[in-house]
Amino acid sequence: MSEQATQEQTDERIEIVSFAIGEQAFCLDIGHVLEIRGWTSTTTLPHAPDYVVGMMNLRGAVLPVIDLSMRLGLGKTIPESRHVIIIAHIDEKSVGFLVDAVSNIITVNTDEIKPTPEVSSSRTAAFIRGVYTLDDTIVRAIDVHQIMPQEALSAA
Amino acid sequence: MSDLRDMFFEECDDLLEVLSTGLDDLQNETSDAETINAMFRSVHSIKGGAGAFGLDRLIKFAHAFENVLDDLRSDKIGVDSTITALMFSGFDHLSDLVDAARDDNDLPDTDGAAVLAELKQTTQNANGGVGGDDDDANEVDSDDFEVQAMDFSLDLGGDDDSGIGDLPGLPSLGGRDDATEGAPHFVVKFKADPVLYTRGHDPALLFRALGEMGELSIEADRSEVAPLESLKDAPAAVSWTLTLRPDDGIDESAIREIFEFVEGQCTLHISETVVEAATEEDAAPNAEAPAAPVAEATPAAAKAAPAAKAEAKPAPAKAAKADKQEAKGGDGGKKSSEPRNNTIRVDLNRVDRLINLVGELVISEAMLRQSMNELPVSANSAVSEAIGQLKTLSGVLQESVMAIRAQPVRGLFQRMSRIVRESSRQAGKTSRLVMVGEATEVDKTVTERLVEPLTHMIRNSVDHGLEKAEDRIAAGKPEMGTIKLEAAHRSGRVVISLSDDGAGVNRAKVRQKAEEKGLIRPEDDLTDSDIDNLLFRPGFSTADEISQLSGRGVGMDVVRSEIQALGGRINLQSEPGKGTTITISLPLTLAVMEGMLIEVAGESLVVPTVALRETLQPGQANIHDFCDGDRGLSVNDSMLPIVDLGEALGFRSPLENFSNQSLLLIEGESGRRSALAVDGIVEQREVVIKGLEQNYQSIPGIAAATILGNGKIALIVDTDQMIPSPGNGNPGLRKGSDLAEVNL
Repeated sequence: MSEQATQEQTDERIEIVSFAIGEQAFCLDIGHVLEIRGWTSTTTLPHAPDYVVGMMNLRGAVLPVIDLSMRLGLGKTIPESRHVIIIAHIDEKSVGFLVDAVSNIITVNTDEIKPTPEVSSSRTAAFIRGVYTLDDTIVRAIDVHQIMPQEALSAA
Repeated sequence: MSDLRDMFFEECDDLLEVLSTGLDDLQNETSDAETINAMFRSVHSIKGGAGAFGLDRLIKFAHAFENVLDDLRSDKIGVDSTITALMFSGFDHLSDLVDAARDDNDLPDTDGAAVLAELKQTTQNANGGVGGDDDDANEVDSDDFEVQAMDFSLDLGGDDDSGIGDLPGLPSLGGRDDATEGAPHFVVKFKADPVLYTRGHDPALLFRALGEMGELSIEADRSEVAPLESLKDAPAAVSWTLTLRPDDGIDESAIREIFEFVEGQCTLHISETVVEAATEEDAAPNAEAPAAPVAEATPAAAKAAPAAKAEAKPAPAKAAKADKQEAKGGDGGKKSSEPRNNTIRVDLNRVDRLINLVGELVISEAMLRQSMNELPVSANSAVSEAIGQLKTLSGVLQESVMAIRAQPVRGLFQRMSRIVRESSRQAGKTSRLVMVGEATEVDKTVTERLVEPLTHMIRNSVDHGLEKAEDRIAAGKPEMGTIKLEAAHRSGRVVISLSDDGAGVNRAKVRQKAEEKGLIRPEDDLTDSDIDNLLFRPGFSTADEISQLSGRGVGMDVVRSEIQALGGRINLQSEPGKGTTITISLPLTLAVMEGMLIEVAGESLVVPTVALRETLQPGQANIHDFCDGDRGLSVNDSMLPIVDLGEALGFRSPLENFSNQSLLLIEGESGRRSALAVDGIVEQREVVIKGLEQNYQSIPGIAAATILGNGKIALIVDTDQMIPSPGNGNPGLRKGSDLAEVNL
């Protein structure tokens, strides 16, 4: 994959963190990623959506951990020590994304992104910003703003 | 200059607060001589600072205001309701002027003109009998005193009695007859380089600042000034010799500090000469003396008015002199006689960093203690003693650090007193604000963000809550309505309540309106409290006529959402004919809390100790089943609802058998009680509150989170949401199920 980085182009080059959930590859802009940690146990939240695993303690800060697999409709992750939490900072909030494994940090050109195929799943349309083709792999770019837990409308 | 300017406006805020406190005392007839003195000093200091920044309009108004206060102080006019009302209008306009000056706005000329005229008239009436000259002197002062300020500085000459005849500004400064003999003099030789002027400095300002430190005489040496015909544009030829007879505690470094801004841009020589044997009388150190060189930089302007009267009457001259000194003590450099104003200004970010660090320290300390406990009992008493000490210290440290951010709500409440006055005027009603618990301390962020919602609530109270005067009289109430603003710490939260003695919520009308707007159905069975709280529904406004104050579409729903954004709750209680009370309950964010660590369904949770009344292991005998799996607990002849915490938080399905459960009797803000069923009680401990909203969102039934000694997060139960309201289910729990449905 690294030969991608050597291509000289005039377009804006960004770095992305690619990671795996099941058989699929996804990525985030590295600008959002604060750090990557191994799995630590979380505290279950009551009345939380099923994709919110719980709250974790990151050096005194309390932040939610999101099961990205569940959020993307790929089935629930049973977390164990091999899993990885990507700590990201999105829209002024810190959040942990539970994923299977982090694969690589890749430099890409912003214009290499291709639109998400027009599939019927609303999740795909909402959460996948587009895809990068790297070697033979399709890497799905996550829309970080949509993927955050949406504030529940406070019912009166 | 902008730093100084900021500092001036920050001081103005403090000074206005002092003024406001004084006004309240005046109104409540709890004032004494010192109250009016303090008010006078505040206005005076504002005027002084305004002079330094050339805020003419502010100066002019403050001057007129100050004159009236001075007349009050010297008993030329008595305190009555007219004067109090005038003072309040004066205060409001003064605040407006300060705000306008801060934002570089110009108020329309008509603003405050009436108040200004009235203030001037009051002074004139008060002094009418003293002598015709007096009026003239005041008039001249208010128009021309800027010029006089310089005259004064140049003419003073260091002699106590010189110049009184031709300048009214002198006696107040010149009267230091007791302490001057033999005191050291500073001789300052000052010559500005041309660059000083090109950089926009003004020697006059420096001299005024110097004049604040004692008696100052200035001589200008114009010998080097070229004749007019050959004068170039560089005005640097004048040099000055300034002789300062310093006030207590002024030393050379304080003088140098004044000239700090122009260092390298002038020739400066400072020397100290003792005229006669020093008496050591004034040697009291005052390290803070130079703290506000500019804030009160127009001594002559400031003193001109009282001095005018001093000329006619020797007695007020003494008073003015005393005030001169007190005024200096009151602004910037606080003297020991006013210890309560001993403050420093610190960047809020620094405080927040400190708070976070101390929070971490407390957690580390808890971790250390926990690991110690897990060690084999080696009984090293020295270590455990040290750790115990560490615990105490870190606890005290944390408490002290938290206290830095906490502010009394007084300032907030005082802002509201103005809102009450203004909205009463606009609504054509008379009302007064009663404040209770102003000393209650609340996090600064909270006080700031409460301004808008409280303003809106007060306008509503005046507009909708209080009846019109004739209706009040008909109902046998005093014509003047009372709005009460109350703050208190309760159940680990800050509770702020606003009540009026008006007609209460017109429930029939509210219900009718809500039905018209489709918020409820006609067949809905609502309790009184349900109807009252309809007011918080979006798009609800019952005012028949849209008034200037409220009813512009921004309703109580906005207030509610703002309170909720602060992690708070709002509740309205109303009694027909008696009035309405709106209660805001806010969390003490960032604070430490005593809590009971419990276990439910394998999770650790914390129940705030403040809400806890009793813990028991009841056994099945005292538990009684009701419909739909509801259970009640009989305690001391009363029956309390049992809430299974594990079920309420969705951790597990309802329990069949409570015999192994521990029950925590909790009492909410409303005084209602319930019994929380939990699996086990671990221990009581102090926990650091970590908000959940910062990185996530608020969770029904959960107030906040905390980090335990082992690094695990435990959620803090919101006990109020764990108390079912009769027949209405539990709002917190219902909200929870809604939440689950809303999300994808």
